[in-house]
Amino acid sequence: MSLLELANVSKEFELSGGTRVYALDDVSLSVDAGETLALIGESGSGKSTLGRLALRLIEPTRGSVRFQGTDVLSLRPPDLRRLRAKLQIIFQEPFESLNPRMRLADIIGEPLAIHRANMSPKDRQDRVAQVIEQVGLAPDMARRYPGELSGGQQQRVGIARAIVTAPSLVVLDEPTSSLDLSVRAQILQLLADLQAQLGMGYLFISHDIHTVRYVSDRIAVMYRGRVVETGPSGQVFADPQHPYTQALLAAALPVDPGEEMPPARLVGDPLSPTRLVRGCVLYGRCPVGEDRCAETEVRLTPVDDVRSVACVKPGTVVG
Amino acid sequence: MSALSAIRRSRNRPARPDTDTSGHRLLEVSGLTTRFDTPDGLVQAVNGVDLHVDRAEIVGVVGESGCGKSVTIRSILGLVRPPGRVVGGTAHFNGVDLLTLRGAELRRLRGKDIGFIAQNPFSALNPVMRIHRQFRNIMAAHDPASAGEVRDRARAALADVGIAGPGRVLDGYAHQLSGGMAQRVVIAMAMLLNPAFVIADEPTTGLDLTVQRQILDLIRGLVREHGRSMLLVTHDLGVVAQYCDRVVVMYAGKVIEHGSVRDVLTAPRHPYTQALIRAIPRPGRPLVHLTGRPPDLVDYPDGCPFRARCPHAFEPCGHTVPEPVTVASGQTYRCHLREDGEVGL
Repeated sequence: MSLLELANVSKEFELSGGTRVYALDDVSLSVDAGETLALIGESGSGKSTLGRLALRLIEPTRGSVRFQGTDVLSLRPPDLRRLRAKLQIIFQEPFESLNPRMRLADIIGEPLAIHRANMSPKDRQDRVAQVIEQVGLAPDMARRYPGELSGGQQQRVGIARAIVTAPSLVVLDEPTSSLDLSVRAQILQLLADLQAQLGMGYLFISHDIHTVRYVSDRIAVMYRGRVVETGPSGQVFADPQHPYTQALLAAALPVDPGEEMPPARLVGDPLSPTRLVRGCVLYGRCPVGEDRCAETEVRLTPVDDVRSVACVKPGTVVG
Repeated sequence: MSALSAIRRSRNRPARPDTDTSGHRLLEVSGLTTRFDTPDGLVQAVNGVDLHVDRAEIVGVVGESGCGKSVTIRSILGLVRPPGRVVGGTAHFNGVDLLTLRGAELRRLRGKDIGFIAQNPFSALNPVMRIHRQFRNIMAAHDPASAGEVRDRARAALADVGIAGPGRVLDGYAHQLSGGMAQRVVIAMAMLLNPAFVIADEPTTGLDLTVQRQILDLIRGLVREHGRSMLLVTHDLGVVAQYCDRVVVMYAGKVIEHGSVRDVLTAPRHPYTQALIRAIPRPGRPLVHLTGRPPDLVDYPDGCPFRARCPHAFEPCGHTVPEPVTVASGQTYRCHLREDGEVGL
């Protein structure tokens, strides 16, 4: 049984003028215990919406969300609260997600106050001290305020707060995107170490290809509200099947000046998410697209045992 | 030769390197020093930066946030606002020290001789003015032309940056454009008066990855085709590796290493450059990362500013600022460890 399972999830938002935004369109995916599923995509692809949906911070328009077999969408508030202790999130902007008027010990201990209300103050204090050490902060930091910390330290606090209730699954929404390169590496290392120690599943949302390649066991490539390709990350990186995946990987610039840069593959900008697309969402930008792609309904279809692609001619390579 | 006559002279010069008579050096910055007087104290943002750009060359300036790369180019362009001020150094462009120019003279130079592409296109474009008015304003400031001519030149400039329906864009407003389209418009404006030199400050940060590639290819094409030079500020070593000829690495307001892209990225000499390259996640390789963070620019340390994070720091690093060391290929670095190529982590 998967830890987290989303099936045929769609999400539509209505803007103030009545315009509908189709943020997610029939997305299915799962995360197992101890594994990292990376959701990779550009802005507007729906990846952050999906992360929030997994925690039921927002409700889907259609589809189901199950966590350890439980239908998350049918839970009533007290049960949902109990579940949230096992399902945590780490945000992109550490500072904005930390209350500037609270000391770190109180920020990190807050989930315990909510989810482990019968824990004694002493036990709570001990647990907070333990996670402060686990995330590599100095013990005396407990008395500090978020504003006194660097970006990397703030993100360590965000991680400490997320793991203090010993969750089974953590959604990481661009956890290193606002950090400088040298600090980013520290945080990625910490996240990998914590996963190895604690066995948590990660739903790792990122637009950074180098990061995703490093952290993920499996990846789901998102574009304009749909998953267009999914599979073990080694295979997807080595042999991308969907034209969008090919273009996305080609867009990551090699840092070795001797390594040749693949040609740019896509033209134009992504379609507006206010248009409901019947056919392929890449139609119009795709280098191998045909007229039929505009109308043919393309769903994620297995190409082998472990990989699925939403394309009428997967694996086509542009010359 | 007065500064102004030099500007006039340079304005009349076509943007081609082969007609240049003053040598191959286009920009030479020396000892540039910029401070910000804040309530927390004097921030030593840029500390004696030396760099140069030759004709038909793309030079990358790379470093992490707070290293002074953006302040450096803003200082060169005369765009540092109080409480910031440039307190020392020179920036010779075509023989004129830009740092001695006054507002009107600088404004004339920006646009005509130096095109600037800012990081955020939506802050570079006026949100309440139609795009064609903004093109007209740029031309009016430099080269008064009839309204019809403005439109034709703007259309041509937009076509050059790959905008298919230039008429519609010209009649519209910035908010109607996607991020990629807006940055194309800003690039068209920067190139409108055919400057010989382009300064781009993180021109693709915030754009989608697949769009970043398009924009970088476009900028490089416009620079290379016309023999222009460019100073490209970025935090992305991939951008440096693929789009630049030479690179300048900054740390704590200083240039700590520079040289050809190939030399610096494949055989970095400075421990900071080495750490930066090894911090890029790559599958199958352990992540090597730095501990700590850059020094406080208000309480600037003595000696080498990288000392506190450096795995090789030894006695002289605490009190003596390393002088630049240049090796045969021209690669230059500031580190007390000098054994050829043996600074390795």
